[in-house]
Amino acid sequence: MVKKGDILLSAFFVVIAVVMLVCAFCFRTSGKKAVISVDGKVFGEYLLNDEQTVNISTEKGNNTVVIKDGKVLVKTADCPDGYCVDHVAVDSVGETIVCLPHRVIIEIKE
Amino acid sequence: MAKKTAYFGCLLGLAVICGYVEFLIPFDFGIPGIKLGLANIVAIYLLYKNGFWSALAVNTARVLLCGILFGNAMSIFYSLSGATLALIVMFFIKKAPVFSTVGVSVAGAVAHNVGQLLAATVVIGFTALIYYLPFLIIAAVVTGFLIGLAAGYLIKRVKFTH
Repeated sequence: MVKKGDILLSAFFVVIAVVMLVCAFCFRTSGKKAVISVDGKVFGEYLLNDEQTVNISTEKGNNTVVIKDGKVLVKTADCPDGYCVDHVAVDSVGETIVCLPHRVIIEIKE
Repeated sequence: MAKKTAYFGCLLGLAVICGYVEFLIPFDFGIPGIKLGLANIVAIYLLYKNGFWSALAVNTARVLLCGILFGNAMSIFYSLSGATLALIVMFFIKKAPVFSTVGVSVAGAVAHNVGQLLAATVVIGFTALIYYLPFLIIAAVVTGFLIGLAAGYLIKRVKFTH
């Protein structure tokens, strides 16, 4: 009952997704700073060279961001899903770590 | 009229249970927004058997009920955007005879994830979330395929005696 159109459509989407991934991977450049914004407003800018720990405390919750070895990661967070903590460390321009429940965005810029 | 109420009520209940099962057993691969989309089996069944508006009505009711029972206001917003966009896309894809329920479901699943991502960008902003898109698309194709197969069999075999 699976028709040829179904297979083509599925393959089409998979190809698009793979192309997106390849492009993102090949065109990445090392970032120089991490910009953290909370609720759409800039919270702070941090150079990736400087090892540091940033605590973000809002009424929605807490996130602890650690910058080490030129990479940024979220060490701890008390959000319900914990996607930000699970996220791999980021270091390339455009890469982001998002904590949706806490409205926190960490974006790498040059 | 009473038969209609019973019929749609039955299917709505089924859809809510699907939502509940997904709530109990999180289908998690670390990427936000990934779901099995079990409730879409009901949506596709209704789309084929009763048309767009019935599917839309039951879908909306299902999203609201699931949101009230085990979700929150934000999840209703995301779910509704995704599910409604998915239904509209599925309605048009269904018109092409080259696609079976599988193609319809895959298109719907991709639309659902894109719709949810769009809703999240309203809250958060576009550049931050674009990296999730390829993963969501691949997951949508896989789950959409399976859900489409299930819905296809259901449509063929399940008859409500009116």
